[in-house]
Order: sequence, then C-alpha cells, then structure tokens
Amino acid sequence: MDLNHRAQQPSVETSHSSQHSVHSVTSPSSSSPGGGGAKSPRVTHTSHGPSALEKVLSKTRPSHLPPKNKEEDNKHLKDWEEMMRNSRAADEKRKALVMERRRAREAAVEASISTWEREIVPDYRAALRDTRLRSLWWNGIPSNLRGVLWERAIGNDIALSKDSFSRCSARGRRARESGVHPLGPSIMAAIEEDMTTTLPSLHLFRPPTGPMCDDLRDMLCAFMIARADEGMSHYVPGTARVAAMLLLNLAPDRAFIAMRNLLERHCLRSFYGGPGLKEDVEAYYRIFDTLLADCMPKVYFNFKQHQISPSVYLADWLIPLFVDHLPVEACARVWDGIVLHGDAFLFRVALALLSNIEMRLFFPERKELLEVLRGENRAAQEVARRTGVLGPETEGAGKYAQYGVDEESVWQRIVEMDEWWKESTWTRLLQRELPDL
Amino acid sequence: MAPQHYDFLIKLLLIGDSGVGKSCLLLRFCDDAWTPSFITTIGIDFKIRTIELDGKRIKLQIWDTAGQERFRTITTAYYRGAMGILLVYDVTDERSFNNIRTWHANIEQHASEGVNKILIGNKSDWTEKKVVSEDQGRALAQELGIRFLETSAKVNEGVEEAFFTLARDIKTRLIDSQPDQAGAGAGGAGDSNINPKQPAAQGAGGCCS
Repeated sequence: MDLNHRAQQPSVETSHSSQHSVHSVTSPSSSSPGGGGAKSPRVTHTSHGPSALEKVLSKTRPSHLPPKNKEEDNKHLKDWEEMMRNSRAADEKRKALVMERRRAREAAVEASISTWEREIVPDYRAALRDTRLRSLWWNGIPSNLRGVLWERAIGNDIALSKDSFSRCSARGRRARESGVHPLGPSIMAAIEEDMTTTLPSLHLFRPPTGPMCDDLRDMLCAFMIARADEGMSHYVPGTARVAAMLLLNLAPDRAFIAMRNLLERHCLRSFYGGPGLKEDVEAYYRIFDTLLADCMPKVYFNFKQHQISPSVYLADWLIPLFVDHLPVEACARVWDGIVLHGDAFLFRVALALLSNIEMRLFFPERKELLEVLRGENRAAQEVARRTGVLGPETEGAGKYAQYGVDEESVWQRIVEMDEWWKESTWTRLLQRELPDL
Repeated sequence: MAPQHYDFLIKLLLIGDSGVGKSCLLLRFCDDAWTPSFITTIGIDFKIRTIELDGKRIKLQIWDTAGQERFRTITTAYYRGAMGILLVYDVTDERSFNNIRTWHANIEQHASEGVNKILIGNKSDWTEKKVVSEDQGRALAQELGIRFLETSAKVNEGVEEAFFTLARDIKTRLIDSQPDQAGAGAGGAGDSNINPKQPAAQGAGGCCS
C-alpha cells in the first residue's frame, strides 16, 4: 500500500506541472481506491509494460507511471475533452465580448467627431476642465484628428520656428553631399540600426524599402543635428520609435517640432539626456518604486526580493514611449493620455503595464522575472503561440502582445487606477525627489 | 550630383477589401513592364514605376495597404500626401462592391480634399463568376463622382489604362494648373512631394535609371 501510495503521489505532481487541465481530472481518481495503479503495480518501467497501443491510448497519465484501467482512462479523456471544449467556448465568448465593446467604443469615437471638431480642436485644454470632454479624450482621439491634437497638447514651449525642420534637415543633407556628415559614421549607423527595429510589423519604416524610411531618417538626422547644437550629441536607441509614432500622425516638419518639445518634458529629457542627468533618472526610479509599493505591494515585494529595481525595466518602456511593448493601437491610445497629462501619465501607463502582467510577476527567480519583463520568456511565448494570441497578425506588434496586453486591457487598468491615483501624490513625490524642479 | 531621374513624384494608394486583387494590380502594373525596384520579404508596402506623360517623367509611388487596414492608427500616414486613390472591388464578390461606399467615406474623412479617385472592378476576366455588372460599377462611380474602369490583373486588361488615367488626372490638377511647379503639394502634407527630389541614397530612387 505504501508503495502504491508513493507511485501515485508523483502522478499528481507530474500532471500538475505538465498539464493543468488534466490534473483536475486525475487528482480525484488517484486518491480513490479503484485507481489503476492498484491493479497492475510497477510494471511501466520495464519492457513488459503496456503495449505500444495502450501507451498511445493512455493520455491522462504520463507513460512512465502505472497505467489506469481503460474504462477510467476513457472517461477521464472524455471529461478532459469536454472541459477543453467548454474552456474554448468560454474563451470565444470572452473574445467576442471584448470585440463588441471595442466596436461600440470605436463607433462612439466615430460619432463624436463633430463634438471634437467643435469643442476640443479649437481649445484642447477644455478636455482638462470639462469632465464630459475629458471622458471623450479618454475614449481615444479619433485617428484623423490625432495628429493635430497631439501637436496642440504637446505645444511648442521651446518656441521652434516653423522651418526648423527644413533648416536642420537641409544642413544634414548638405553635409552628407559634401561627404562629411556632422553626426559622424557611428551615429549614422546607430540611426540605421534603430530604424530597422522600429515598428517592424507595419513595414513602413524599415530601410531601405519602407515607404516612410526616408522621412524617418531625415527626421532623426535633423533631430540629432539640433541636439548637437545644444551639446547633446549621443544617439539614444529608441529615438526612432518616438519619431516614427509622430510621423504616422503628422507631416515631417510638424512631427519634428512635436518631437523636440515632447522630449524636452522633464522626465523624458532626463531619460534622453545622457550621463549629466543620471541623478534625475535615479530620482524618477525612486518615484516609480514608491508608486509601485503603494499600487501593487506584492509585486513590489517580490521585485525587492530579487533585486529588480525600476532601473531594470522602466527606461526600456519610457525611452521608446511604450512603442516597443504595446501593440500600435494601444500605444497611440496611451500617447493620447501622455500628451495631455504629461509626465505623471507616463508612470500611470507603466503601472498599468505591470498590473496587466501582474500574474506573471511572482516567479521566485530573478532570471525568469527579467525574461518576462523583456518579453523574452520562452514558455510564455510558446503558450501564446499555441493559443493563437501570438500569430502572424501580432508578430512584432509589441513585446507584451503575447501576454494579451492590448488597447482595451491597458486602458481598463488605467481607468481602474483613476480612483487610486492622486495628482497630489505625484506632485509630492516630485518635490521630494526632485526639489530643484 | 546624381542626374535627375524624374520630373514629378506622385503618391497613389490602392484601397479596398482584402482579396480583391490590389497587390496583383500593383504587381502587374509595376513588374510586368518594369523591373521591380524592390521586393519586400513580407507583403508589399509600395512599389515604384516611372511613366512618361506628355514628355514629363513621372514617378509613381504606389502604396498597397496589404492587410494593414486593420490598424486605424496608421490610416493617417497612408492617406497623408496621397494624390490619387484607386478604389478596388472584385467583380465576383458583391460584398467587396458594397463595401466601396465605406471605403469612400473613409477617404473623405482622411484624405486631403480634391484627391483624385478612380473606381476599379477587378477580375473582369472571370466572366462565369461575375456578379457585379459593368453597369452597376459605372452607376456607383457616377454617384460618387469618380471615374470607372474594369480591369483584370491576371490577363493584363485595363491595368495600364487605370493607372495612366489616374496619373493624367493628377497631373492636370496639380502640375499643369500650377504656373510654378513648386509648392504644388497635395495640401495638408506640407512636404513637397510633387517636387523633384534627389534620388537620395536609397534604393527607391534608383529604379528608373
């Protein structure tokens, strides 16, 4: 009996770790007296074990364990199939519901275009004052107005003239023609490299064939020339993401002004600023850590245990402004919030991302946690592929698409956070960590 | 300096349901009589063909929406600076025909005003499966106030005519009517698409030498 008991124990363990759905079927049986193991004890490891056919048929227990009797096995298999069917049906239903909600929201956005044009386009700040307009903005800017509203909300605090893009890009071109590029070969190589990995799923920016790759290159060169004038001459990988996202919505000259202004906002300026602003970046890490501890204490605790500080992942999200991690639709939507609500919103999005993948953040191992955060966890990728979450449609469309992170789910988390989030907390944290600001 | 390869650059779009043959039209038009400037590894993004109209070399940059219609976010980028649009349906697929109105509304919303359009009924060679008659197509085009042609990318019928007709219309609207070529952009864009560009260091420029 003792032997038999021991033989069954691992059967439960194994089925648990290998196949969740089967586990729930097998476990009650293994504790019941009529279990297969009682009839034919310990024969599976020898060559006298079950015939090849039986081995194939017994799908509810690993082959190295004592076989179950056929009847039970068949029943379990049927149960299991039934459960899988139900699970698939529930999945379909859930997907359909999400689709329906999305369609309803899109229709609402579509229907609100005239309100947008009448009340928000003339004065975007109305969306900060008026709750009705704010909720319109939160539903997402209609895509045909996105460019102009991003431009307005980002503003032009650094007072660039309208022709700043053409002047900077002309300087770049002249220099290239005369053979001396003011940026130097290493920066040009870095730009090309960054371009090849920018929004690859859209096929728009990849050199040399992407239809918008010339625009992107011009914009990045102009940007680097303008920055070099100000003594910031290193290229930050990820810059191309920001430029590309703006180019999707604005013509190059306007996108350029928006980009320069957007990256002058304090938080992004710090992350893009190089070694001189390292202390500010550290301050932002501390701010995020404080917010995380408050918002998701368990995740915070597990991260602390395994020395995962925001410095490990936050810059990867903020520098490309989430373009690398979110599907493009979701990303555009969070940009709607970022342009309007400023730096604070960057942190809300970052928290929403963690909240979206929270279930995956309790690994007891640093390496695995890092893989999940980087979107490089093999197991997760395989599951996503098997379940169709990751397919040709979503390949290259944001590193977190494999976790089912999409526009609706990100936004849901941001909205859920609305109660908890206090602008005053943000201000207080800024004052504490960045008193000179 | 490299010599000038063309006088004008015109951006065209192919729009319509998936499966109506947009990519085939593009391939037929650009590859049949011309070496392709490139072939992307995944899908087609755009292709180039330089044509001659009234002694002017016109470089057509034709964008194919290759399944990317599903991204609302990038429609703006697709439409920005487009000077002509080919609205394509499949004469053997009524749904694709009925959806033309939706596509047209989409254009109205996103494209710059006055963009030239042409309605294309593709797969005209497939007579036994044809469900949308030429008259229906013509009636819809009339209603939308645009030109109409039936084409077959497969047997190469009407394809050249479709692109040339559209290009000629655009040339008339944007180039011939401008006493000075400069600043004849299709509005909104601000970038001077219509101006001759240097065939910069990229492959895109090298197609027509």
